[in-house]
Amino acid sequence: MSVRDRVYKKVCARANKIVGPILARWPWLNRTIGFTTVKGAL
Amino acid sequence: MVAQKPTQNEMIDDLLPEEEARFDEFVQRWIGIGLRTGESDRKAAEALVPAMYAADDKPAPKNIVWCESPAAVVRHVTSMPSTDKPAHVDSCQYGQFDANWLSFYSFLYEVVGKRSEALRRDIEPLRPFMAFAEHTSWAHLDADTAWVCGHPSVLHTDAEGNLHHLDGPAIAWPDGWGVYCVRGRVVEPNLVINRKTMPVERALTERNVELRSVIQQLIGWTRILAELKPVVVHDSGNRLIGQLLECEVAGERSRFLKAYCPANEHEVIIRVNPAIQTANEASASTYPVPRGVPFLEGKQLVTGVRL
Repeated sequence: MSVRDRVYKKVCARANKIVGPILARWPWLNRTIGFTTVKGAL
Repeated sequence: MVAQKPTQNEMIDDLLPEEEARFDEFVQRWIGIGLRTGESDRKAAEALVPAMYAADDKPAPKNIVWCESPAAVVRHVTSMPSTDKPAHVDSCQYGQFDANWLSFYSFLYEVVGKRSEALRRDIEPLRPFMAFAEHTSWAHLDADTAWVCGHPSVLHTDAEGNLHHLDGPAIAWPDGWGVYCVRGRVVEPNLVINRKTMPVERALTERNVELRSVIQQLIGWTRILAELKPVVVHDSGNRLIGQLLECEVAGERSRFLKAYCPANEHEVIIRVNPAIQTANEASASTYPVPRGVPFLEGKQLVTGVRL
């Protein structure tokens, strides 16, 4: 697991519990960034 | 690690109107970061590396090595003994390509955090990751070395934000490594590189439907029709239903329906059964209904609704 993933798990799990109901309100930036595409090409 | 349950006082159930009004500001800012190209501020990125390791309770690495592309990061790291490539790629972090989720926590920290010290405190360790995204596109942080890659030199998208470019890689880095994409679909580089000399028959005979659509976009209908020189067998008089065309493809007389697709806002050509005699029948054949039953012309036909 990467540094990023470990920090994400540690930080975001608690933050998400604090703001749980508003997670669904955020307009996630889907389809704007191509990291999965780049990752898939590696 | 299991996150501690927040107390009732710490919970935030809803956004204030003035907070929600700032959505677009953060969305635009982070889309800008996610699509950033050109020179990276290497000094700024390097200054953030120790804080990212500290967030993971690890000491700073001895070295920071800049690589010219994500592929170069992979080459460097997997050249070391006992490094498994797929596992390595999974353990990378993605700099600007983490914009999607970092944008949310950036908003929480800067906006909602004004009324929640607990939230700001919890998100604080992500701050160096947010800043790192502004200067990098890829990184692998191992115990001794941070392998870091700057922004791509080229990044093209279509209007919907999919990686897309018909005249070269949709995304590429300074060492030339890149990814070729048509409307978000990764394609073989030679399809894009050779698109102007690719035989037009391939745009009609490729068996994989998704790939056929990509090839049609790469070659373009203007060249396809100009080279095949089809004759019009039947004209429906309605551009949504279109014309039935006939021409020779790979030595066979073949029939195609040429019609305007309102969903994609361009003309499409679909290969149909060569026994079909009219454009209306050809159009009907593209819907999952039995042959030989009359159709309304116009909207009902196009949407596949039967009489």
